[in-house]
Amino acid sequence: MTPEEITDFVYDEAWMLDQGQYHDWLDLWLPDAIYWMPLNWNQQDPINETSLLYEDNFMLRLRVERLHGARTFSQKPKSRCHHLLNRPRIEEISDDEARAVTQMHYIETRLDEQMLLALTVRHHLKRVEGRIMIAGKRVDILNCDAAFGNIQLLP
Amino acid sequence: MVDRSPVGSLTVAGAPLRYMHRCNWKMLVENQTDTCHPMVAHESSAGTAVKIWESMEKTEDTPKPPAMEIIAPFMSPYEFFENMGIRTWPNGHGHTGVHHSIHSDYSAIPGYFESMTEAYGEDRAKEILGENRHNTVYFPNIMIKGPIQQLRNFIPLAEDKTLVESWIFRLDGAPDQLVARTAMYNRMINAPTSMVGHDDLEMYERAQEGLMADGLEWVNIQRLYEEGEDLTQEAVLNGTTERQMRNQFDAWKRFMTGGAA
Ligand SMILES: [Fe+2]
Repeated sequence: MTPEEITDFVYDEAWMLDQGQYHDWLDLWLPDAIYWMPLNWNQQDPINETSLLYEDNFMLRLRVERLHGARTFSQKPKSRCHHLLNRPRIEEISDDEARAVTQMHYIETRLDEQMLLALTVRHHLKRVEGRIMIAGKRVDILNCDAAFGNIQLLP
Repeated sequence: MVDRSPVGSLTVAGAPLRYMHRCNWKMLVENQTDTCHPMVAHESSAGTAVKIWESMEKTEDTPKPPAMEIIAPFMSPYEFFENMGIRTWPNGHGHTGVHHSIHSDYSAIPGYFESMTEAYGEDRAKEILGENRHNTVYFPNIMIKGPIQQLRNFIPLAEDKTLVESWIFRLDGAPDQLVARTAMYNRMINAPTSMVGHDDLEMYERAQEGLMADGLEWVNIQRLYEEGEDLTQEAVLNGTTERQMRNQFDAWKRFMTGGAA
């Protein structure tokens, strides 16, 4: 992989989320990949402690289908989101694998409410049959231990 | 809950979830024993999970995703919740899941029953694990899920604002898979990022808005009311009765008026 490919990928992924292109977004994920959002600062254990998210392909697909569901009352009206990205820092890179960490500001809004979250996003990427795909993603929220209302979309 | 540990003790596991609700605390406490909302309010999450699973190409060996074990039971029919039963005690306490519950069909964890039998003897171990209470309300504001080692604390901050903390516990001396399932339940059902949580909070906030509008003077909690209902007595009834909600309001009224009512 080249640094430019990685940077483009991270920007494109955030763009898909902001544009609500969720089915394209699901196609970026490898079958065993996990989306982890810790509950605690510097949390090490995603399994035996509570996390905000620790989701496999099935759960992510459920999220996407639910957002489009006719009887999803918490999405009437729909939420919108917006990612503002710093340039990704590439921490590991080889021909077919890379790890990058990106600082982001994430805004989610619905009705009269708007929430701002500061994120540190870690991507583990792999090239499979020529395509770059997500092998794992960890999103740390700066105030992860705060009392939030609903966070309905995907930071 | 403590009995479920082979050594008789619990340890807090990780940080608690903290979820802010823009509604009155009583709505949350009522919701704990409301067995008629899951199949409607959670159709968007649990119903969609079932639909996806049914539409997936699979063989008999395809493992069921954990989401199906945790979220799908919310789509159980009214009959299931009716037969699950409800028990009320005086002073606003009570629990759902007298005979069985949405936690009854969780898969067995290897080695757990053996260690329980060793600690308590087979009969007592079966008795402890046969208890499948769903939600136990300790009025006014604590809810415990014994079979999955969770405690929820409903903290009123204003008439329209409630902080919900959800704590989980490790059963000391039991296999790790149990606390892993508990952590999974907590994040799938009770996190600010949980789809099931989104379903519920939307209903609470809409209901709160409705109450603030003052259009209706009464909220109806008459479901399965029986003539001459005596809330000073323990009772075991059909799981979809709203007796436990009436029980809570009876206690609240007495405590708020210092026994004058
Ligand atoms: Fe609910």
